Amino acid sequence: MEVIQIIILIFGLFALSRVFTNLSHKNLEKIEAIFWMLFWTVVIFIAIFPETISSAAKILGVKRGVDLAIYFSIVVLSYLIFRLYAQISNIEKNITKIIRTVAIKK
Amino acid sequence: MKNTHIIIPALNEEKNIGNVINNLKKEGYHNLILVDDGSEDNTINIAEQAGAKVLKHIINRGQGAALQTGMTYALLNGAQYLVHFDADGQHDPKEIKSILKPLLKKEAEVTLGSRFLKKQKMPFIRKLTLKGAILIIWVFYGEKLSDAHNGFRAFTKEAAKKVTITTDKMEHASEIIDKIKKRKVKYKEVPVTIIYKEEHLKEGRKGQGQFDSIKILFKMIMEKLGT
Repeated sequence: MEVIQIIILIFGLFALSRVFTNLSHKNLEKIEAIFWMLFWTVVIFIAIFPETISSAAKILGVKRGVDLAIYFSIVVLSYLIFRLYAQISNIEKNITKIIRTVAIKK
Repeated sequence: MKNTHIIIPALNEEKNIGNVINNLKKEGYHNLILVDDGSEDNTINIAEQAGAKVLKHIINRGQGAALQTGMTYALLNGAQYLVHFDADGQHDPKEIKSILKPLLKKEAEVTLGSRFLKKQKMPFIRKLTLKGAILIIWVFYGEKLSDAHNGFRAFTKEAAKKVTITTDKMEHASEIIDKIKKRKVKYKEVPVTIIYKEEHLKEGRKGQGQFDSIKILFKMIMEKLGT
């Protein structure tokens, strides 16, 4: 096992444990928790058996397994950023509503 | 004039706000709503002493948000006509009459001040940005205006209910035009003078800086994708 595999494995386990603690503190919805559990389980699995993504890459027409992992990560990250953007602008709009109500009532 | 409410969004305008309010009072306007957008200076006290109704945003939310707060308040308090007026002394209170005229004559429901309908000196870079904004409004909304980003506007009560501002920051100028078009509100451009004082030219934070223009464009694209 290479050092990088061990690092990813340890980080994956740490992240997975964070998902469980957040779930028990009810900071996460069940559906979100399931998504993140699956995500980190896949990461851990790939860290232990890197050959598996190589064969998956071949099926999908990507040359190297690592490339597939990077492409996939970029897609996931972009989606998450988009979701954060939407959530933040929603929060911003709500803050404005509160500030407006306070300004008018006083 | 009793049913005309003047909405003045302000942020750190202690130098100008007293004069602006007094000049408006001299012209006979008494429903003056100053929306303080989280000023850190003496704006609130000066405005209250000068006799304006002051609404306080306890956190800065942007000019669009401040205008909408003023509009909501004015509508709750029986306004028939609503005027957007700058707090920094760039607008001439005498011109409120001309901006209201098309509304009183029922020729339009909204009037938009335009500094390009009158010949006037203006810093070159400002002119370039404003002309660019006009082009973008034209491309985005298919509406050809002579001045897309003038803060001097007037609304009838009915139009103010239709054109609500939901963008907090400076994109509201574009949003207003978008909503006027979508909700088929009748509008007219009215020539107005913008007084460019030396301090306005010095500080980039006044109005919309050049960099802000790019940020606004980005937000407009995001809004456009969202709808």
